[in-house]
Amino acid sequence: MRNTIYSLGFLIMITTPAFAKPVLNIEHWTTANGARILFVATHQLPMIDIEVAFNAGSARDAEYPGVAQFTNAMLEEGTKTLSADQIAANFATVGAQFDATAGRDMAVLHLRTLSDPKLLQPALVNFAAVITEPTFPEAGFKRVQKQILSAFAAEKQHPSSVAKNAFFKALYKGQPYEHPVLGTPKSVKSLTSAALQQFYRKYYVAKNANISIVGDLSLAQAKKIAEKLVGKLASGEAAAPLAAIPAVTKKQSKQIKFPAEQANIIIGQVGVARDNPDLFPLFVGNYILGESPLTSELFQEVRNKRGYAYSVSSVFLPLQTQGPFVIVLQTRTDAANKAIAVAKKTLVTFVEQGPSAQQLAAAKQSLLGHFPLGIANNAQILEQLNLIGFYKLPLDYLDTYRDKVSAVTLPQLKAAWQHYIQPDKMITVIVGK
Amino acid sequence: MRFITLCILTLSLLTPAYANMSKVTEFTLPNGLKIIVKEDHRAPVVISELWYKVGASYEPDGISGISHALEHMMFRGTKKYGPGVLKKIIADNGGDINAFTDYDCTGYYELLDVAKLPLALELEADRMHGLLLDTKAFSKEKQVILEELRMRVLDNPQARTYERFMAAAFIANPYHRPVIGWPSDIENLTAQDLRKWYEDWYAPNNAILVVVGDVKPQHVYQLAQKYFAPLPERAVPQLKPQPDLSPLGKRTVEVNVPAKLPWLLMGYNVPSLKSAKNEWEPYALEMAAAILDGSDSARFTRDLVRGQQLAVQVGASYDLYARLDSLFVLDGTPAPGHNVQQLQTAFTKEIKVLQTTLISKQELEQVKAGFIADKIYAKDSIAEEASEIGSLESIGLSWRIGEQYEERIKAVTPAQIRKVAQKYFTPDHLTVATLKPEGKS
Repeated sequence: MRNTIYSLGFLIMITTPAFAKPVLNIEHWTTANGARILFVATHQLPMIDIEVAFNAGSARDAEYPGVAQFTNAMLEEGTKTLSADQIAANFATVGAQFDATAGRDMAVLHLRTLSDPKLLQPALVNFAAVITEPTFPEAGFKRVQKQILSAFAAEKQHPSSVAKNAFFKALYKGQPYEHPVLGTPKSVKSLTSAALQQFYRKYYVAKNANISIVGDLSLAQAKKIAEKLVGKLASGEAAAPLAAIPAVTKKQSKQIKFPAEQANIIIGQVGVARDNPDLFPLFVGNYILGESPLTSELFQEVRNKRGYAYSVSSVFLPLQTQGPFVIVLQTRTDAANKAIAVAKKTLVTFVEQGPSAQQLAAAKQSLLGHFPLGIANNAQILEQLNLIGFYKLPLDYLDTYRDKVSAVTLPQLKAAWQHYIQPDKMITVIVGK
Repeated sequence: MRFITLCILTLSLLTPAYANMSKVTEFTLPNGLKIIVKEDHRAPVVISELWYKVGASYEPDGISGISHALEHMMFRGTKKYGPGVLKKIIADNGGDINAFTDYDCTGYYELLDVAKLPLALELEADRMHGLLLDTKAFSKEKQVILEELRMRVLDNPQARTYERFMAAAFIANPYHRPVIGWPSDIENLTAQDLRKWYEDWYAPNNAILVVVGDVKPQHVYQLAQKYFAPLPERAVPQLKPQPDLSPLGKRTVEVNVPAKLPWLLMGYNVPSLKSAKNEWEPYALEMAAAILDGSDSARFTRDLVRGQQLAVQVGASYDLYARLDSLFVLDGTPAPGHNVQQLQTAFTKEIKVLQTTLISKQELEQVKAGFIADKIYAKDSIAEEASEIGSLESIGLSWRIGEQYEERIKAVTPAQIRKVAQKYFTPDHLTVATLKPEGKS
């Protein structure tokens, strides 16, 4: 153990001098109409990634569950001058990749393209048209609607999706995170192209957008590109903050019959928001409890010692408002109750006693060592920028990350877990026979 | 369409400038361990992958899944480092460690800070010869593997369909059996079986060390020498050829399990890069797959999803890096109001077009542009770079083939694409599997 502590001290020493260079050279600015941009230049590969994230995830669905996801999927279905076929062909011709995805918080449009101007320019023109001039044509609407209805069926044949949807429903009753990102079949069937356009006009606006750019560009080029991409968007308004989620008041257990060999189990409760000041003690603790791949407490107890599961983990999903804390596992039907008991006992012990000093030191060392692995390529840098930009984390988030991990103390960690996690008030969802 | 041709030209002029940053160096130790180092100095990280030339396709009947089971046990301790120590050492040092088993290979990797590379090599050398393989630990691990089987296959209607589809598409060819193994075979594996498998195949002369990252090749060589050179070379078993039987007609499989969505799989038996007699054929097959499903602008999505609206999901894929003959696979989910029969008819029509009509220059250039761009995008991930080298070397092909990929793809002509379609996409070569949700007509 002396070795561990020695290395840890060494790491801290080299990462905290006052003159330390920033981890990433992040440039940031705001476009004329109010979109926020974060940019990192990387010149080793002739490629560029651009991610445009609107605060327009399913949390904004309001009375139309599924409208956020449906709107996001419709952008590539036609613009003022281009058909869906032309949009797809324009990207493919220059080897560019485009994808649109929606989650509970974000609606994201991502472009990966080569940086050679002859290939880049057509890709950007096409991307800008998709972002700023979608027309929501009726033919595309009907087809995408059918695709979404099939996606509901696909979710229903996967016990893990059934469990996840049931868990969110139980945890977020009456809150914007309650329903699945896809919405409900009834709502999706009742939606109209006009409703989507209304959603688009409200949320796909510059002040509600966060843009991350990584790749083979100069700052001047990146600035031009940003204006070109979103310059035509209305300024609009940033989406209103989401209300805080009330804590779970009593334990609940929900059993859903499903023809599967395994019981899919989720145990959890309300966790924390992205801006929570206790995020680091919780995050470092969770690394020990259930996140550290192959070595966590849950992995040891449920998998290694008892062979109950192939995969078992715990995670905090910090969102705009309080995201969930969950323990997820799958086990054969006859072992379900035993596995749940072991997982819960592991959690209780962890919350009551906290980790040992040795475990904490090892976890810190592991997380500090991991740090460079998460910013090693363009895709990872893009992900970090998007996180920092969308959740308005401080711009020195990456620079101070290691100090914050190092600073977590045992009493602080224990106090945070005891404050936020009540093992006697967990929601347990079991999907299986 | 001169514009497109121009783009392609620009691209090929542009790539060599970036080629230097990813120099590959090859070494071989006296005990036969091959070491391949690819430099990528963008970040102070490294991935170290140790690939063994053994996998599910090496397994005789009755012990299917043994390669995968052994992969699990490689994390259960060595004589030097007891149970659980290995994972903990790597985790404490901020690294990621994991493994994978496939038809033709078993691989172990560590992703870590470049300064920690010696640790990864030391641990891999240690578990190449000093595995505990404790009987009790295996009885627990077997439960874990059975849970993995339930999760990956038994509770996944598409995975179950795919398993039966492969078993019908391949008869004598060992790709007939799933990588994870048949349930009864897994249940009856013993620690003794695993010990034999380990002693048979885990030798330095049957492995390839692939290292990609911020390293100097000579340094990697010295480290590899330090840790692996003491391990003796050992004779490994000689594999029998196991060619497949010649197909005698179309095979059809129906899978009736609880599910909500129907699904169609069509597979044509085709050669792989390793088994092909004509070297250009696998590249023409790669092109054929991309013409059908290389992008959202390719024929499948354009014609069947957007155009005729028959399907909500479509796919076409081909794995050219395989040790034995391979499969050209089409798959799709019918749109609501349509069925798998209609989708099969539509897929067959698209195949017919490939067999009868030469692809236009414009479409050809679009597909090639996609390949060339994807090749550059792949360089963003050191894991992908290492995986390409290992996939080739583990089936006895040189990593240099990966470097020539772009050139080979560019050389494919419309006539060659038509030719492979005519030669291989015939009813005799075809296997069709359909997932029919239980209780639905």
